[in-house]
Amino acid sequence: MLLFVSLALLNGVLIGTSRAINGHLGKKVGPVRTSLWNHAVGFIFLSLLIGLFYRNDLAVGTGMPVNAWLGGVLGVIFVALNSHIIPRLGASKTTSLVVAAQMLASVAIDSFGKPVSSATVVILAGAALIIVGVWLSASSTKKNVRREPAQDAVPDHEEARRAVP
Amino acid sequence: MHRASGWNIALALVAGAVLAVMIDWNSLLARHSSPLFASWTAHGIGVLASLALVTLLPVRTAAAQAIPEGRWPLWSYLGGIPGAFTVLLAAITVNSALGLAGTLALMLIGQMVFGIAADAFGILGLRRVLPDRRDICAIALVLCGSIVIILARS
Repeated sequence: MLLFVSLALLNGVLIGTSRAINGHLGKKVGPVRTSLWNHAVGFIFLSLLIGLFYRNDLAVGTGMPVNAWLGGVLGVIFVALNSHIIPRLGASKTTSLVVAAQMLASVAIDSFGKPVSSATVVILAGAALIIVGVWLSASSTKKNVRREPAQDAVPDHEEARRAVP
Repeated sequence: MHRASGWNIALALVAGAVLAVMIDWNSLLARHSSPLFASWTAHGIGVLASLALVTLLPVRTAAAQAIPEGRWPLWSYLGGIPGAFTVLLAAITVNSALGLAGTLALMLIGQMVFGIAADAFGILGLRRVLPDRRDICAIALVLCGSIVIILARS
């Protein structure tokens, strides 16, 4: 059990690592090209994994809706947006805002057309906590987020030293 | 609040919503095949879509070039690898005693802790900034709210 707990935690760390790395590349090649690099490298890596260990995983069922194939298009948009934001807002703020919107959107998607139950109340309470968190995060005014975008793209070591007391 | 910051906050929220729909669509594909196949396909389609965008969009990377010249670290091109690896680990832990809810909750905790640590230590090219009390409270609220939702749905 401890192994799986560590694996799941590690997975979260990997997600964060991936996004931070992309944010760094974004400063050089721009968010859209970063998205291309991310998907191309990921595709090659997964091709190797599948080719070497999971060749049986390639069966596809029938009757698939079209949108099931189009998640990758949204992935491109997501990686581009994320790579643009991370150098500007920092990793922790970006993560909390992205997770917040992700959870609220998934609640909206999930509860569409479903009857109200006792779980709905708990879910709405959770959503309220998230909204307060977003409000708090958005209203925090810090030096590092109040700079001009042009400067933001460049890691300024003077600024960085001042930001850490 | 400053406009540049407000814009980025709005974009981060849009990104989160896009992510939720993406996960919804990708898991639809995964249910008809396997998580690995779904991620592979999504990356393949992503390559085509981003190639199309790179070709169609006017070159606007000039602003980003105002950075110190010289070799850009190789690791900055490899963000796709931990990203792709995620699917495999998730498939393993979802099928363990943790289930989907436990996996999601722990992945969120891992992400949040990484975010705070990455900012605090300034790793991977991030600007070194210690999150203040307000930021930590905001993160804790989002995390608690998310875990409440995950548990209520399971």
